[in-house]
Amino acid sequence: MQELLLILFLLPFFAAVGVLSVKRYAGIITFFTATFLMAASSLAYLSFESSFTLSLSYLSVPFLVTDLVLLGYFATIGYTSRNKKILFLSIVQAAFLFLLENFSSREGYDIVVDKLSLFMFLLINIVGSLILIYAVRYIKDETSDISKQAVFLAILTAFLGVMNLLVSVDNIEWLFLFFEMTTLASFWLIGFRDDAESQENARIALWMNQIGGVALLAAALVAKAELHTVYISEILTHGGETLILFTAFFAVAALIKGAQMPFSPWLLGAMAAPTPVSAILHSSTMVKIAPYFILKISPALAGTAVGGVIALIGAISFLVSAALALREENFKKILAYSTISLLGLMILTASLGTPLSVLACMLLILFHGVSKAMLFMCAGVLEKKYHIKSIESVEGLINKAPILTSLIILGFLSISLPPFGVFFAKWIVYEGGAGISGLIVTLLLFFIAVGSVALTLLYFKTVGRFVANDDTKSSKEDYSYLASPLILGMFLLGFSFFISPAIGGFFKENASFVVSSVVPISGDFWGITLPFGRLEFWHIVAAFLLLGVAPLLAAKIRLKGIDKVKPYSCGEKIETSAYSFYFDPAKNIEKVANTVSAALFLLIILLGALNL
Amino acid sequence: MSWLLTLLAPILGGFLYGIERKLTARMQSRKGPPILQPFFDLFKLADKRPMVVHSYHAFMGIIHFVAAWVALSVLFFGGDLLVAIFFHLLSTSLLIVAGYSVKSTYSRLGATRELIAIAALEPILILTAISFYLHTGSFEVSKILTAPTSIFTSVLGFLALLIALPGLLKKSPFDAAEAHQEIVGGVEIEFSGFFYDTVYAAKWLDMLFVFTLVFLFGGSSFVVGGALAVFAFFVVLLADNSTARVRYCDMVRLLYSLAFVLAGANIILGVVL
Repeated sequence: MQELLLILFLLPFFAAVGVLSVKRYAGIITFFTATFLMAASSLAYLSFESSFTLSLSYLSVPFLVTDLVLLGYFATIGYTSRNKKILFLSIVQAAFLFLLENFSSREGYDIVVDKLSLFMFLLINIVGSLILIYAVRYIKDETSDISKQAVFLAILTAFLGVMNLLVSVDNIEWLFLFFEMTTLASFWLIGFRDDAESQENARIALWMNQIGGVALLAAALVAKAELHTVYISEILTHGGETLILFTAFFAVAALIKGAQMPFSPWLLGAMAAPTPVSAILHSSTMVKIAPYFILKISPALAGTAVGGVIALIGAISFLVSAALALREENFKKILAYSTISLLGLMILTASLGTPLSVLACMLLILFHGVSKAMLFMCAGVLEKKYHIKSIESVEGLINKAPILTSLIILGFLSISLPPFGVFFAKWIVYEGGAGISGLIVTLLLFFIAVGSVALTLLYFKTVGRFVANDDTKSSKEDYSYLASPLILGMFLLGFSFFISPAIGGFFKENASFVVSSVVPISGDFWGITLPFGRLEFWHIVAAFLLLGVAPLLAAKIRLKGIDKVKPYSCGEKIETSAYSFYFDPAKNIEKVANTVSAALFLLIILLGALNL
Repeated sequence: MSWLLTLLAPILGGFLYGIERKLTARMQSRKGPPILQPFFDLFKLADKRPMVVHSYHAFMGIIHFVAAWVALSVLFFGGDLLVAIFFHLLSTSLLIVAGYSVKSTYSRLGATRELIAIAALEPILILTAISFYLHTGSFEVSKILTAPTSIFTSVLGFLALLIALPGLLKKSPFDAAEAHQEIVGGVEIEFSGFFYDTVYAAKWLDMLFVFTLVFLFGGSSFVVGGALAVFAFFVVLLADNSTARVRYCDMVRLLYSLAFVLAGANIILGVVL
């Protein structure tokens, strides 16, 4: 166990150094690191017996120095780019750090690897590593400068290490350091292309996430000043009166990292970066910090007003982002909006804190990660191989690149319909949500019902573009990029058969750990039983055949001896074409949602201070 | 019983459609076709020379039919109501995918309108399911059918579903998705012969699906359920024959401001009381 953790924590950093020093073999080193990380995270999950704890207090001083160096670097960026926000926030953060030093804290375990950490390891290392492997191929087409390639791969690899540490530390001061490191990684990676647009977007990502850093430091300050401890597990058990204020600040940090409105621009701006960046930071790893943070504090949030407001922010982002995406035709933008939207749902479910909603949240975290990583990788192939950015120009692609198109379609189906994970999450949310009586939960259910249908509309109108067939002749598809997305696609399809035992076993176990009570759900091969409903195995099989098998067969089979006709065109000979449907919700919807959400952010802090 | 109902579903649906056509004719003071006319149509279509735009499109029509049948069988086997609703969504989405896959303006416009209709109708179905849960304590059809009738406690929910019914059945005033005079049938236009048969029969299954939902309001009292279904059937026909089609965006607006609000109010009342 310890050895495996050592690999997960340190290997990425050593590999990054290796990549930078031996640039010629950057690809090979990255590839092997990725395979090691995948193996280590799976083995760690399997060999887990009890929480692993470690005290490393002698690292506190070096870590503090690193903190200050990092803030100094941010301040320099702010100064040289004349960005007052960055400069100001860096100074505020440094001031908070010095304030923190005035308070003493009890000794404890800095690193606590529990079930939730292992769950996150699986997502980070397996999906993240597949993206790394994909990035090796991708970056060769992005730039011919070999040292730039190495830098790119090194940052991505090291980032996985930072994420592994972030989900394992219990010391909130250290958590702040890793939180800031992910901010740094996003700043570097978004600005990687070095043009004016990416530089600007990178700076937006920086200052927005710095606000999250300030919130995290405020949470640390509350804990240290009032409770004389920096250990999150201790704060959550002995929090008493100040617990709510702590969770309020902690949640604000999470919501900003999760790009909830009005902080969504930083994630949307990340589109300027090379695609593996979008895939690794903004679909499967970085943004998952948000639901992870909320899950950590969800037992404390259940039934509080703060929890209700957090859920409402999630609900607003869920609905409004989905609606806003309807006006976009840029494929990556559609994916980004849908990520923000589903993150809203994850935050909503996590902050409700009931056993079933936590389980739904974990389903969403894992399956959204897999599906979105796959979709983003496909978006990269579209851009690099076929020079397609808009969904209006994909017509006929199904003939040229059937596998790529099938993967994209599968990706969208897997985040909306049975038998895939995200559907089960929605099902559990509806049935679990209806089980809690309360006006707020009812209101949230309305948001979920309308938001999910807005997403369905978005997904199917996009799928509609991809199945659109014209007279393009089929040609041989270039498979060079497709290894990683194919593996994820196979996983999605194959796993749908084992989803009911997985929900009854794997997800139930992990969710039960988070809420420290048994989740009222049971699942075996023959179906899933909730307190008020049941899903049979034959439902899963039927959905699998209808969505997974039948369309593929339909695409393969060619009817013989049946006459082909041209579509009906009213007798006209002119070429007609129909494009997709775009819906621009009244301009002020975005503004209103941003303003309301911003007010709700302040309300979180206020309610926290009032201890509600 | 479940098996029998499921196996006979297309035949039951055909009869239902036959009755509907007869009644429509009588409302318009016509004699109308025989009750078995839908089946005659079916055989005649099957007999025609089959033509396809491309094989994929034709096959998706068949899969759509199968999916509609599966959605219905989830209901008939007493399964989870939400699962049934999601299967219903799945079957519609297959037809939409088929509609988009051909290079035909009418078909694609129809598919888009169908999607927009879903955006207005799906939340109402889900809220209906939640209201069943609130009044019967379960999402499972088998349990809902043994619980006391919920029509008196969720009148508003019933009204909401009643308003949404024309949309679900693609009947006037909410039939923009297949508006014959405008977009010549929308997604259906490029299907012909045997392949149109499948889409045609899938519509019968959809009819059975939504009226079964209405029937559930009766709970253990099948008489009440049956009466409600017959009532809804008449109301839908009457609306179909006496109203003009509304534009698809007005349809969304109307459905949200009437049906969604009613369904929501019904649930809030259920929670508060």
